[in-house]
Amino acid sequence: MKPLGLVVGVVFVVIAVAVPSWGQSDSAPKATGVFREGQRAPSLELPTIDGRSTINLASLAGRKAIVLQFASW
Amino acid sequence: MPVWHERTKAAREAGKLRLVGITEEQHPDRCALFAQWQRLDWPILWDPFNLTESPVVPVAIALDEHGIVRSVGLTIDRLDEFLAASYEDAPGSKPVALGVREAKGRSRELEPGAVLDADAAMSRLLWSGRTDAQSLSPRDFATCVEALARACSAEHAVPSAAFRLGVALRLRHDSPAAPDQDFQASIDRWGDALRADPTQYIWRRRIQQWGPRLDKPYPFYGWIEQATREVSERGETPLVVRVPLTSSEIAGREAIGGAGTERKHPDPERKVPRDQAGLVTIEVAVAPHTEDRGDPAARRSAQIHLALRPSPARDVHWSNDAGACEVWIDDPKNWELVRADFSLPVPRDAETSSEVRRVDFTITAPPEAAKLSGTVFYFVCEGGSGACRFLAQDFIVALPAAR
Repeated sequence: MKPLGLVVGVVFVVIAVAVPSWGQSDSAPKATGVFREGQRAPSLELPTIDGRSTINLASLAGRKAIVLQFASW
Repeated sequence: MPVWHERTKAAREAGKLRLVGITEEQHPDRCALFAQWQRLDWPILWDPFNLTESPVVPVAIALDEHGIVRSVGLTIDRLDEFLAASYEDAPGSKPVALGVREAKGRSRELEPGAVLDADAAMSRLLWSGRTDAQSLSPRDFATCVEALARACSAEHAVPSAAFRLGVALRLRHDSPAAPDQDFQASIDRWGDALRADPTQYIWRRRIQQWGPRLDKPYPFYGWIEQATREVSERGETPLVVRVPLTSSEIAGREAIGGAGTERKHPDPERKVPRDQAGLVTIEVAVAPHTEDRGDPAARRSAQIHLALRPSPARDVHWSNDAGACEVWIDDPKNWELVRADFSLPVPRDAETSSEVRRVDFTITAPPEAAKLSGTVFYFVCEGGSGACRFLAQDFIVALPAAR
């Protein structure tokens, strides 16, 4: 059991040290769906709700952005 | 969302920040009304297929100026900290390209016999000229649904394939060329997906939107009436909600046979002629309770949806002057029925009309119950100079197996 406990402890320390990200200094990178901390926003083009235009999430680079995933319900 | 709108306003106006919404709703026009009501002036994208794979909403994702995700689940109290921070780029890393990503060339009608893959089908459904897929021909709709059905039945198919097929079926259900049973099929596919991943709340909410009240976390679209009124009071024209709201999607409940309500069968001796010619078709859909836990009685509740369609082939239309459509549910002993309205609204501005009429109601059935029966009564006319008649049609609803 001792070697196993040592391996688990080492893995925990490596993860905790290797993945500090903004606002998440003590845990693994958080993710929701295709959005993962530390990675670029994916290339995914979606239409606007009025159907008049589209935006590719990858095109948001250039200035800071907040993507709000929500529903009106 | 209004909080984010207000708190980011100064940074957006200073050109330091973009705000982009993504709605995970089936109907984009409802979110558009919400945005108009709340004066949300930033772009909101439509993701009915859950291509972002978000398991829950709301969630705020912070992207730095390089397009790199810096926070998932950013809270409003950390907004200033995010705006003040500076970030290094990650040279060499590229955005992951997802299958559905381009809008170009999606508005042309497909060639006969065209075969699409699932990504191409979803692209076409998303960009069919309007975001509600109204402009798709029945043939193109069929091609898209077939593509998503193939993905759903493929070996090693992922649960999201079933969810996305359900979305396409529901889109077609809301289109003018809707075939029967698309609504039920969409609920069934969403149920398949949810059973495979009960933690996916976007999928759960899609069923609950049309589900029984005992399974609702909140009234989904109870705000629409207030929004419409307040937008009008501002002197603006409220955006149109194209697909009519069902009673299960808005607040309010009223029990059949409740206090002061005496039920009286409109045709106890079955004298009203039955619609043998099929002038009106009745589509039935059952949205079950989605929770496996909780009160056993609640788990037996379901939302029953009826859609009445006058036959376009026989040029059938409602005779609005003659009266409303009435729905009668046969007396189910030991059942609880909750409803909004069983006398279907009649357009007041037209003597005749041919719209699809809908009614929905909640039932909580005893464990042994397997079916529900009832009768719909309606006034219809056939053809421009055809005779108008008062007809009845019986229906039977098969209930979900007791859990």
